Amino acid sequence: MSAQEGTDGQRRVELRHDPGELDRLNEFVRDVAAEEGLSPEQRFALDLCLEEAMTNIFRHSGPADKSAPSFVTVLSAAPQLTICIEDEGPPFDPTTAAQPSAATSLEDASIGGLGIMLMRKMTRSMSYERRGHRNRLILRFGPADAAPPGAQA
Amino acid sequence: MEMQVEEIEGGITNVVLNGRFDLKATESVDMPFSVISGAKTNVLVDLSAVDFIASLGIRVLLTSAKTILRRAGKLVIVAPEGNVLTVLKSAGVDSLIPIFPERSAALATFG
Repeated sequence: MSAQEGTDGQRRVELRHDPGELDRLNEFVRDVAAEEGLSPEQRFALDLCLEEAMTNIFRHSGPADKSAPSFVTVLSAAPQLTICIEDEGPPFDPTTAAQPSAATSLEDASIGGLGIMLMRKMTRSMSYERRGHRNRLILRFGPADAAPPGAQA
Repeated sequence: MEMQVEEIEGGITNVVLNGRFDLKATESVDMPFSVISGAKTNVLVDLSAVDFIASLGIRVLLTSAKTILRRAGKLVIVAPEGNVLTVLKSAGVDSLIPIFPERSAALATFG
């Protein structure tokens, strides 16, 4: 078992700041998808958002933060699946991070900021708070019968 | 993720990817893609066996396409599956890189 029970019986995984840990994150996604009966589209949205969130944490955390693990916790079950991601890096609020402007040609395409834009499109909502020395990012996913907004693109 | 590269008829470089195009995959394919985009002008990237793509994977494709375009070449994407295609469209990749559902149509653009 890769995922553990949190203090309130919530499913949770603890990750060190090493790309190798993403295999354990993938197992967590697989377990949550099976338990919550997620559709392939919902599972993909969850998979993508957690991958992007952890990529951002790896990128923004300083050397001093790398020893402190991050936690990914299921706060509430499907159909209103809600996931919390906590890390001890410097304050970073993806919900207010600059959005990349739409590129019209490859010559002037900016290729940063894509991950946060995808998270916005694949979730119903995202919220952020700084609690103590931790970043807490809350991701809310849509019900089973609603495709993620990105699916209509 | 696995990456296979072969030269095919018509001076086309055929790149076939297989698996998850995520952070870990990017670490292994970033360099091969840089080499290809610095040397080749007609590049076809087959995504039919890719079942996941994240922003770092998209960045590899956009960076390569940009480099090849600067050398008056072209990179095209072939046959992304449902969820992968959705992500590519959400990121606006379809307005920057030609995406073809069928391999034959992609090959024809290099004619």
